[in-house]
Amino acid sequence: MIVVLLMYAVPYTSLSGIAGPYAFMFWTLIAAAYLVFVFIVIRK
Amino acid sequence: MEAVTTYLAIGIFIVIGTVIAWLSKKFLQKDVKDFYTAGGRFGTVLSSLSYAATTYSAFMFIGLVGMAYQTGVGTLGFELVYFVGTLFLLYYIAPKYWALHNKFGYISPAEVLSERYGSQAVGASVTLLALVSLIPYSASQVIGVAFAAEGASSGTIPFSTAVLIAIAVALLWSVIAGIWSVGLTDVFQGLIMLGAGLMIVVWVYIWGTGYVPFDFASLGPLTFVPNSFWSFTTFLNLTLPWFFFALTNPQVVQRLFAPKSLQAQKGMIIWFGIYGLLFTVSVTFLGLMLKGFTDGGIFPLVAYRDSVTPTLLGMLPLWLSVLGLVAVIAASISTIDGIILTLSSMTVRDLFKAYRPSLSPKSQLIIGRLTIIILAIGCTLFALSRPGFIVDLAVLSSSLLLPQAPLVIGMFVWKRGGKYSATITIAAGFAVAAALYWTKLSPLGLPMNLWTLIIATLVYVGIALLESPTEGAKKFTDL
Repeated sequence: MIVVLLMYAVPYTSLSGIAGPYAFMFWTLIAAAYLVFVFIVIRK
Repeated sequence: MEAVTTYLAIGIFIVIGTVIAWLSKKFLQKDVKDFYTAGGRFGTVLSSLSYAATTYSAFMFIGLVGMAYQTGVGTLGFELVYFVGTLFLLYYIAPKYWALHNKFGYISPAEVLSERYGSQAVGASVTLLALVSLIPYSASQVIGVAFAAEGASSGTIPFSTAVLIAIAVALLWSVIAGIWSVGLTDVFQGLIMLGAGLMIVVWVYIWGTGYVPFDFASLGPLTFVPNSFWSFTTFLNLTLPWFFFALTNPQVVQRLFAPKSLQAQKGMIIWFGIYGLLFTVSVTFLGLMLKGFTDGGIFPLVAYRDSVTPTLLGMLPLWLSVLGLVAVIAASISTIDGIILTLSSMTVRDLFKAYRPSLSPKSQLIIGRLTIIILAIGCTLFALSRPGFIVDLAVLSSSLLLPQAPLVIGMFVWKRGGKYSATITIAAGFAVAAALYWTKLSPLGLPMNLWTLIIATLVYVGIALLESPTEGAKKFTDL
């Protein structure tokens, strides 16, 4: 759930108004990190 | 793209898919459970690609590309909230659904709710809700195909012809062998969707940057949120039903019954995750890239966002244009046939069998196939009326299905609640969603879907506290 909250909070606060690939990269990386986390947890 | 080539490509795709669907009949055992859930015999590859192809639809190729083009990077966040939400929910809930199917043989997702909340009225109301809600979603898939075919063939394939072809194929592939023909054609279609999507993104990047450089920052407000479209309220409103999609959309819930083992289901979650992340990032990047190339003067300015992909298809080399169109068709059909099949199972089990327990398996299959045909006709009529943007229709469907979220979560974590809390939650949540959608009101500045979720949850908890717990609740919470 923390991941989901970050997906709302970070782009609308820290990255707000900053033109460039930052929001795109943030959402992509956090989703990829969550996928890796699920992969590790599910394999246990 | 020439009409003859387009028809030929669609023809080849349909023939290959139909051969696969026909060959899948050898796996089908002639009973209702096998027709709708494969009797829990899907392996990892079949489960993963079938889940991915069912959940990812024309919405991705047409709706999401256009939305990214017009509204910017918020589109990626919106779709990735769905992605993370789905992984999260699948991790916790998929094994529970699988265990329920394995132990008690449930076939339709609504049947599970009927059993948990102690009344067939619950399954019947969930089925009616799904029938009303999923018609706009199915229609949005067909509209996607029709736009793509119309755009790619420069109008030589009329909208109505494309609608009829898509529905006819979805109907055929559902009826031949139920989940077996749907699942195996999903594998074929899922591979085309991802392969074509990636090839188009690479081609567009190489082609476009050969003329003008692509610089994210030059897109300005499209690269951050909030912007003129993605206010926080809009983002919250669109992502809420999307987050709960894996729980509230019966066509994907029913897929959780299909894996042959928990191991296969775990594999399904991971492979779906890899597929989904790759697909989502690619199509949203494509939309942003095309906007950059519009600003650079090499891609036309497209005002109607669902026309972005069709415009692109008209500009690609013939082989890639054909592949792209086939991918859009595959994305649509793999979703529609899954929806139609699931709605058919719910109609048979929760509207007919629940009230006539003596209904024979043969009669159930006949009613199921007839329901598939009726649903296909309803979907065609709705699509032909061209009711709105693809993304809006898709989100509307999930908004109307959202009231199920507290019921499904409560089913596994709380012993309280019975037929009154379940049926009144569905009715109240649907009424709130429908009323706020049509009046466009946002009381207290809160978005429609947040209201739907709050009201549905309060009604569910409030009435459940007054209601005696049902006898069978323990077997769900102890899973």
